[in-house]
Amino acid sequence: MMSTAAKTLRHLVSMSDLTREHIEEILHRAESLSSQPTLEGKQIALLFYENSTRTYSSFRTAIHRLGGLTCGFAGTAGTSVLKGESLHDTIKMFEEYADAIVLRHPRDGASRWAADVSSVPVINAGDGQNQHPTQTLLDLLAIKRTQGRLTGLKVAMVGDLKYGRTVRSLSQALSLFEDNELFLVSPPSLRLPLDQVERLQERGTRLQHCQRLEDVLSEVDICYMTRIQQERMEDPDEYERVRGFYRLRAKDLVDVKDNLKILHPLPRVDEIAHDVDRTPYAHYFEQAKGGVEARCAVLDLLIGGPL
Amino acid sequence: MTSTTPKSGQIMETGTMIDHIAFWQAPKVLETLKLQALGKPVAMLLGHPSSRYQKKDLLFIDNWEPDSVTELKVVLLAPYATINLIRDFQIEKKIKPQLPDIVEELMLCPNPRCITHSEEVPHKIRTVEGRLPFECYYCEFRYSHDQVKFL
Repeated sequence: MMSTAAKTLRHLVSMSDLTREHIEEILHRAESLSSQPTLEGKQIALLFYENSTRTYSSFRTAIHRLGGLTCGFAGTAGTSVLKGESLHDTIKMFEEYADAIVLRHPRDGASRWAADVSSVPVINAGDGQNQHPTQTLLDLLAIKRTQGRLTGLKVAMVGDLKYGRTVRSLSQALSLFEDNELFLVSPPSLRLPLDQVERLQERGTRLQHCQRLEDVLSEVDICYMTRIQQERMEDPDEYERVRGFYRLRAKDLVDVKDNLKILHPLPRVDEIAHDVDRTPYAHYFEQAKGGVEARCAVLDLLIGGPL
Repeated sequence: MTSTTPKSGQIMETGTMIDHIAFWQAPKVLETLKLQALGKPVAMLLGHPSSRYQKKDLLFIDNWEPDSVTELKVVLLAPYATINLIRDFQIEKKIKPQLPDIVEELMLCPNPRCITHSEEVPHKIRTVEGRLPFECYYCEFRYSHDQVKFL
């Protein structure tokens, strides 16, 4: 029987499309789905206008695990996009080939436009600096698995809070659950934009802005590290001013909570030293593994057929 | 200067008085209305004392009435504005336009990375509660009255 969440969700474009019930339903499916062929006979178009390692591979793996087939492109080289084809036309073409479209695009809002145009479900796999909802679902899966809950948590979000779409999506999701407190740790030039702060404060989420990770590390349950995104900065000098601003080392983890877990959407550059990998707090590779399960759950919810 | 708002009839016989514009925002409202080409006489009062807002601006435009789109533009720029239509030295009608939930094909998203700047996309801006009352339907960028730009 189709769940309420499935009935009310046609596309997954933004965390603002999801209620707490949607999130709980998706995480529940992620835990209970194994290799059930719910996408058998279905074709999913993967349209990746930007490079991707984990997101592309995990969507592909998830689709194959559920018995589906894939088409599309990873990078625009050799496609009509380079001849100037619009996103609109590309979506109209692929909706004829596929039962759903997974889209990554460098422009903010591209997935919402694609969803408006498309006659088949669209899943946002990252649109510019805006949203990355399936990354957030796998982040939440990691938090739930390691902390046993999504409420009453102290979460540090560290690094590039200005350009990072994963931070936007995750902070919005955590604001749906009660009693979470977010510590926004960034250089002044990479603070969470005002419109995002406003959105979180409207929901009553407690926020603290700070610059020094060491000031909050002993307090938090989750430390969500992010990479400084050079490719999204218009001014090369801006990157030089903030690169290497945060570098978490194993020796920094001496006075922390036992349940602390360090997460990272990956890829990392130098913000987490490799010696952290060998501590019990490192959880980023296990987190990434959950990407297949979270994406299986989203695909199944949106387009999976009855077994 | 008296703190009483000037009577419209003291300024003009027929036309429009836009009242309750935020302090020092009247020049922006005037620029947006693009009245230069019509050559209408305009009077602008900046920083007039206001019991509600401490200071406010007013615009008086002689022998001119806004259409519905212009009325909406005024309230998007100046959320507390009242548009008063003047006839025979009297206020004939007060207009207080209501904001729609979505403003379509009128406002530009100020986020330069938004898909609306690179594809032929119908412009849609949501109106929301709070200090940043506008949100792009596509990229979800929220912004203030100061950043409003029209197509």
